[in-house]
Amino acid sequence: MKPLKTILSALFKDPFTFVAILWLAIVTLTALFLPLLPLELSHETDSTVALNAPSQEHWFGTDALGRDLFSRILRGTRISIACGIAGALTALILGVGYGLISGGGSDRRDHWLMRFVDLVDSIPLVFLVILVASVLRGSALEASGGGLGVFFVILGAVYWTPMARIVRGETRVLRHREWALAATALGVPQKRILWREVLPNLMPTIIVTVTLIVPRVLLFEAFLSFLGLGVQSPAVSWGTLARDAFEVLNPVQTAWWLILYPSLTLALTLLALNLLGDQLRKILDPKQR
Amino acid sequence: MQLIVRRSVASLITIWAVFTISFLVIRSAPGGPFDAERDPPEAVKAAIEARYQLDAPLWQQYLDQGWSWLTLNPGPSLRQPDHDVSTILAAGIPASFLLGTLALLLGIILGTILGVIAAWQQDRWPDRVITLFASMGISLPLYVIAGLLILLLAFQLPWLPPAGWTTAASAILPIICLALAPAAQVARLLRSGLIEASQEDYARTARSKGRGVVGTLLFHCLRPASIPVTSTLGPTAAAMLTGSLVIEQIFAIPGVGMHFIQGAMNRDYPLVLGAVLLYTILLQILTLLGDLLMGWLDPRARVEE
Repeated sequence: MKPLKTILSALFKDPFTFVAILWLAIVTLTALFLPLLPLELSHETDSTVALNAPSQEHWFGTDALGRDLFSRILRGTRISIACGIAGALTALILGVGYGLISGGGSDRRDHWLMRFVDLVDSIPLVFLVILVASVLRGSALEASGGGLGVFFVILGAVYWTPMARIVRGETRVLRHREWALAATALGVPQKRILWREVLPNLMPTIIVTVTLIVPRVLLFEAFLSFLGLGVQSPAVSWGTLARDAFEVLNPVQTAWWLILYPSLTLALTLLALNLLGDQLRKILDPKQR
Repeated sequence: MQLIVRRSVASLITIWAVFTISFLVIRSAPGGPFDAERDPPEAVKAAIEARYQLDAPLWQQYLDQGWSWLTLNPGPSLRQPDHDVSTILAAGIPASFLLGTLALLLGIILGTILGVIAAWQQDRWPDRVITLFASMGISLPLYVIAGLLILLLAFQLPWLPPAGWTTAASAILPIICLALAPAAQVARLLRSGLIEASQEDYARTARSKGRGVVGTLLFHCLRPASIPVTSTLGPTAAAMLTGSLVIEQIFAIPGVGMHFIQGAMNRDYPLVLGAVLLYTILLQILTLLGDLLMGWLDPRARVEE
């Protein structure tokens, strides 16, 4: 893998990527340090200012209950970003572990483990996830606050198969390289070769794949929350904000800001992540050039 | 032929796996569908459980349910006891079917036109614009696009009704929204396929015979270029099915997706299970169709394996 400095300077050279990284940094820092920000993050309802258009006082306007949309988006950022990172981490651990075990073992084990991945891939997981979400609804687990944690794991569990496939394929190539064979000849156990020699060589691929999984998890979170099956009130995410917006959508009083700003935040984050992922792939993967 | 048989067997295994997982998930659910109500007397509870066969051992429930789904007689919904699950779902099929087919058709037509234009004008501004729109159509969530279109076409310039499923005009906006993602997908794949095909020898031969650029693209390159498009028909169909859930919710369309989401919100397990199975079967059929279509387009795929 190239030194970090080379990668970073290559990334910052492209102005679009630079803006994307800047945006992602702002979003992530907001999510991390939200409680420390000097903002009045009131989620108190105030019916006197319900559905107010953006103004000096409320930058992004207010929602149907008079809550400040700007601070609600910030609060949503915290949960949405947490979902994206936690989901990608779950996919990372499951996928890399499974891929290494499958690609690093005997051909027979590899064959059967990959047949299982084929089966999982043929299942329309989105619908099963909705089923699981409906089972979790109103259960004791959700009431105790564990619902969100389960939700993260579900999101990651949907996207582990591409990671497993990629890692498995690369592992099978790398473990037959000369240096891996040399290590075997020196008597290094297979497990150690996989862990200490093959895995570091997989890092570029893994990083790129994770960067591209995060936006998919974010999209999926928004999708579920939009349908009312994801993050539950009083918690806020970008998806639930859009759901609230559509509930008060009517031609008499168009609260366009309720749709526009949460959507824009999500859209910019998705575009930035996709851009960063593509750029990383170009830099890290010499085959692409 | 052998391929069809093998694919069908694989599909059946998938459907069975989905049924089994769903059954286990539902059975392992903490709390039952009667939790919300006041604690009923023991006898009433027993009677209800007997009616829905919740008192039988697990394996027997599994076999019973499997059999009743196989015979398309899954019994009543938990929340609407007067209606059969199959009746409720069947009532939603016409709207969903119409929405899905029209959107898919529109998506393919629109995507083909845009893809050909983009390949023809490669690296010039029409190509840039189309590529940008295509990547937006793929990467943005559907409700963002739908919301912006509603704001623009239904409220700002009141041309179309913002919701409902009564008049032909009210169907336009949801169909457009649902068609955008497949259109973007088709346009992107077709563009790269066409560009690749136009560098092949047969394309050069056609050009040297005096065929124009557009003629070569349409009559010589389109067929090979549409192979990658058909091979992604399965994922595209899956994306459209999930998209239809959002669209039916936004536009208040009484389709399968609406019953599905409502059932999921109410924890109406038989209804949810029915919808999951219906979507799974549909998806398997569409994937199989995509494979058949690919065999027709690409003779090489027929002899493989």
